[in-house]
Amino acid sequence: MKKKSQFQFAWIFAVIVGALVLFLAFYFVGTNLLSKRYEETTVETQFLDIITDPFVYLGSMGATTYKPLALPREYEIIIECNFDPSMDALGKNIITLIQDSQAGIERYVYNKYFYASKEIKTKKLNALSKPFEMPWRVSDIIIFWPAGQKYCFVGAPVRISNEIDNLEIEDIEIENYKTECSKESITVCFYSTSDCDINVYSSSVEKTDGKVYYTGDALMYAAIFSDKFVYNCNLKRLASRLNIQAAIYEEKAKALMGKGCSVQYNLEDIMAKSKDIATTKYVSENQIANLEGAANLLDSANSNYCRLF
Amino acid sequence: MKIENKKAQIKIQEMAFVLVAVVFLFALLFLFFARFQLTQLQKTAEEVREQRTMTMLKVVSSLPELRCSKSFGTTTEIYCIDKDKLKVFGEIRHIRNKYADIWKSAQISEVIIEEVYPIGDIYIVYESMGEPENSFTYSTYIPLCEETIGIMECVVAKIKITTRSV
Repeated sequence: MKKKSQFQFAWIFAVIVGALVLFLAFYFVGTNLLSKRYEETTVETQFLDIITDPFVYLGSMGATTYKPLALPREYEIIIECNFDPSMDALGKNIITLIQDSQAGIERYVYNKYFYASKEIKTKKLNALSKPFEMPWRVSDIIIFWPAGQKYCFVGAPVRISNEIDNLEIEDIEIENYKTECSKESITVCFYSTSDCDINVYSSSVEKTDGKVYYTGDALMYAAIFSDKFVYNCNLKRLASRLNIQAAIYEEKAKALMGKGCSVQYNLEDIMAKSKDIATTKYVSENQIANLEGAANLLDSANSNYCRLF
Repeated sequence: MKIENKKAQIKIQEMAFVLVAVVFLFALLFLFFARFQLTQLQKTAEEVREQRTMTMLKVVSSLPELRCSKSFGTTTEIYCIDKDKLKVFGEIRHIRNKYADIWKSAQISEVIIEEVYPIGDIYIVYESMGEPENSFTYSTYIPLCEETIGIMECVVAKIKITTRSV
């Protein structure tokens, strides 16, 4: 009897310890797999930031650039914008990559302006970069949308359709009538009141999430492809940066006067208008028009023999 | 009976020692594996940092706040740094500080542009507080140009970016 109980005890002891060892083994393997995925998504977020760096210096050549980007696997990409004019001068875009519900570390990007829908789930991205000029090149805006997501531009101006053709963007169709667009494409109608997904007017873009105001082609593209909040926030960031650059040019203007340049550049107007946009809650049509007016005045004053920019 | 009990106890003790040894072995293996993983992660982080810093050299040279604008006689920006704009960065700290977040996010501790041919001034674009340990410096050459009325005078400058090691 005692032999039997000793024998049973040994088995019970072995089973308990064996179960404990197995549990620990599975736990550590699972934790390691999770941390590996965390590492991967964090590294990929960094690569997404780095891979868009060329857009920043290509814009200095006045180039509109288009490039398809491929990630190693499908991710959910979340692009957010954060700007508090009282705390930071440049604001930031926040990029997070999520794979199988596992999010990597957020990446803060201060010197770029990403425009996209807030959440994109894709393995391949289309990236379009255009310099934003007001009147000098303030920065380059980078627009993302998922590869395979087709847009149909209906009645686009000749300069837009020529630009799309030259860039060979496969995911943007150029048509004269809405009925000629592919069924699954997002329709973008220019200067008409047709029942389209996105309507582009001379100074505004209307989408399901609301209306935003723009000036120039760079902001027009941004308004078409971007979420309303991200568009508004990045526009304020751009205005803030314009304000700082105007201060730099103001000092340069003083230096030019010291070298014998008699042209007097007044940058206070553009500084005031850009600060107005940077500190407002929602950018209005008037504010954009005022900024454009100040930029045009400065551009016309930019003397040929003593150019400021 | 007593002998049998003793035998059983010895058997159990043997099993306990074997189990302790096995657990100890697995713990050692796990430590080695964790160390290997950490080394791989550090290596990846270093590669990303290096790649990032090399790209930042181009970013610095193309910053609209520093780059020569179309005023230098062409229809597009030309590849040079505008000396007048650079002086503003060098002399006005509160303007320089507004761009600190860009450099900090890339683990950069210092950005300097110095005139190398002919040897001249050194301009600080960014400088963090304190002396970073284990830092690396990457550099590239770029023309540094100053526009006076109708004339453009250029010197050769070096952009130096110092970054902290991971």
